[in-house]
Amino acid sequence: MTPSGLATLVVDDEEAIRESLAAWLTKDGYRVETADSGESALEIIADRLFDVYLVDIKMPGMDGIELLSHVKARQPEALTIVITAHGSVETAVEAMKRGANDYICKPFDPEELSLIMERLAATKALRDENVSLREQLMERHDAGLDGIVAQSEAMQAVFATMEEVAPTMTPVLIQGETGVGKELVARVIHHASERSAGPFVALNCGAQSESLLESELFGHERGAFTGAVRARRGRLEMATGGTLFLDEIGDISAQMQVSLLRVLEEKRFQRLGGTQWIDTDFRLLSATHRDLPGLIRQGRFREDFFYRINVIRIEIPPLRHRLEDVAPLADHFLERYSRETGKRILGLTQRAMGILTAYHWPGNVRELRNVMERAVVLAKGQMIGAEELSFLEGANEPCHLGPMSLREMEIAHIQAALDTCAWNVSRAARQLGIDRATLTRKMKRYRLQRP
Amino acid sequence: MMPSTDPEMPPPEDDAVAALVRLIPLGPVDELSCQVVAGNLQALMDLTVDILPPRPVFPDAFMEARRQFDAVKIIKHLAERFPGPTLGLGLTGSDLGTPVLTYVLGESQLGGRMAVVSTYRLTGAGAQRKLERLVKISLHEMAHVLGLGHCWQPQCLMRSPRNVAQVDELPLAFCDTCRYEIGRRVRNLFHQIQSPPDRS
Ligand SMILES: [Zn+2]
Ligand SMILES: [Zn+2]
Repeated sequence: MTPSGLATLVVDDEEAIRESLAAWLTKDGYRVETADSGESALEIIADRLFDVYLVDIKMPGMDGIELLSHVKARQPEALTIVITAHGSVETAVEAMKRGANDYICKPFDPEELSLIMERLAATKALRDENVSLREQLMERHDAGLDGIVAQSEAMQAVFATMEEVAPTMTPVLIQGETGVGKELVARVIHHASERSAGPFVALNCGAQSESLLESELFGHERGAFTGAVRARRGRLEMATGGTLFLDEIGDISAQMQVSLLRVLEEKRFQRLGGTQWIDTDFRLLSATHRDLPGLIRQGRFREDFFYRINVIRIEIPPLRHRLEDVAPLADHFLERYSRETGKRILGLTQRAMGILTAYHWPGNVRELRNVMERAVVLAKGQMIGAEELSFLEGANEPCHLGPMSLREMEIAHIQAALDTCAWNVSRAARQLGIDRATLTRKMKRYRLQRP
Repeated sequence: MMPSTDPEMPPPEDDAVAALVRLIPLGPVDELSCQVVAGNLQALMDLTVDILPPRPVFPDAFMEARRQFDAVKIIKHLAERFPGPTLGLGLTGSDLGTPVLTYVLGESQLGGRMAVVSTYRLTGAGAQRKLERLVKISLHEMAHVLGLGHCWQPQCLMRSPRNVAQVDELPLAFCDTCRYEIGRRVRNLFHQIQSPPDRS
């Protein structure tokens, strides 16, 4: 996967180690800074935080373990790797107990270093996804069906299907754009199923290289490949008795599709480098933003595999097709972020809400969440107005199609609202912030008719 | 300033176009390998190459405990030994490591001037395959020297190979983006070497 500029801090007292590690990571696309001691690392992070910390355990002055506890206290979600000399694995184990994600003995085997960094980047990608999903929950109940904020008919239909399929063992394919909350839907299905006491094991197949994905899924025996210094259970094994959720299933290679198909048919598999058969018992939920039938036509996705995973399909519509969900979601995020920042913000002005509902939300619910977070931070008064949303690029797009008169803009805006609400006049009126009678009058005046 | 007279550096000829890269054999390296690497640098990256006479690997780069040469140290020595804008590629049959990595097939200064590549771990699949691997790693490292990081396009030599088997899977070609970047940077280098800053 692409580390896509993960900010990384390397802390080591030895210059040679610091410099070569930084050089290696930079070539791989990480944004790297270095510190020569625990103390100077603390000074740097007083200013700004990093996604990943690579920390030498043994340093004069503040040692790595102490630095790590400072980092974790400040930034619990930080990804940390401790660097240790050969023969001092006990300290590394101690660091792992205190929350380090992994450890590596120097000098590193290049494959092991690659594997650890890839795993870390994958963890980060999955976690980012999870954070946004969790935040779509109203934070009441344990991811129950009523946990998702949505009023639209389209989402009500999604709920109905979810309720229907949850108790069964049927594989479900969840389809939807990035940011709509596919994993949340998968979690809800799991929690509403008879396997809710079992584990929910998620894996983002799109964020992984082929070899890493294989070892993540199937696990491996010690020594299966150069980087495999310890035996590892794969996700197939971890999901026993529960649900396996494979996100971005459209991104896996044909070869991996064959391997997975075999597991689904035979209900057993072997770890990489292993000879023992391990029985499987999991329910498969998968998700993709891709058009799988299209990929099948291009010969890039196997039809037999598709039929295995696509017994039931749930399609989550993008936010722009259910704009009536924007207001309740915006209120939800507003409440959340004003609580978090301690700002007393009462709500959005009607114009601000108009901007939000007119926007096309390419990043879906996740983008709306980010916008609300930023608006709360920028807010100067008790209400969030249009000024606080001025950063929303192209927010007024429907109104910026060229020079338009006020009347033309109004027509276009009403037309857009009606389109997105499938010409349900009451709903369109709500979205426009006017009453039904006013909208009916305007429709008559502008001769807007249902197509 | 007068250029230092050095028996190892060929005297600049007035009518010759200066090469962009010096290929520096470190220890015994066969003639054919040098020529094939040079030919491919020229063909795929437009880098003209001077092959220098072989010289011993810098003895103080040897790491006793690991029975390897420190690639980072070799690169530092090369940079000191061959100043100026011309790039350098060391080629050696000895095993290379770095302070952090147990071994490397090649090492380079990202956006710097020097790289070094070892044939030590490329054996085991015949002479032809060994040569292919050497060429791929040399070109990959020289692209790093030009400032390119790793690329995630499936069909690109700038993907990061994690081991020798993955080197074999790499195509001997760059993706469009990397090729464009290489072209741009080689042109800059060419102008820099053709019109050195005023020395008066
Ligand atoms: Zn590289
Ligand atoms: Zn490329």
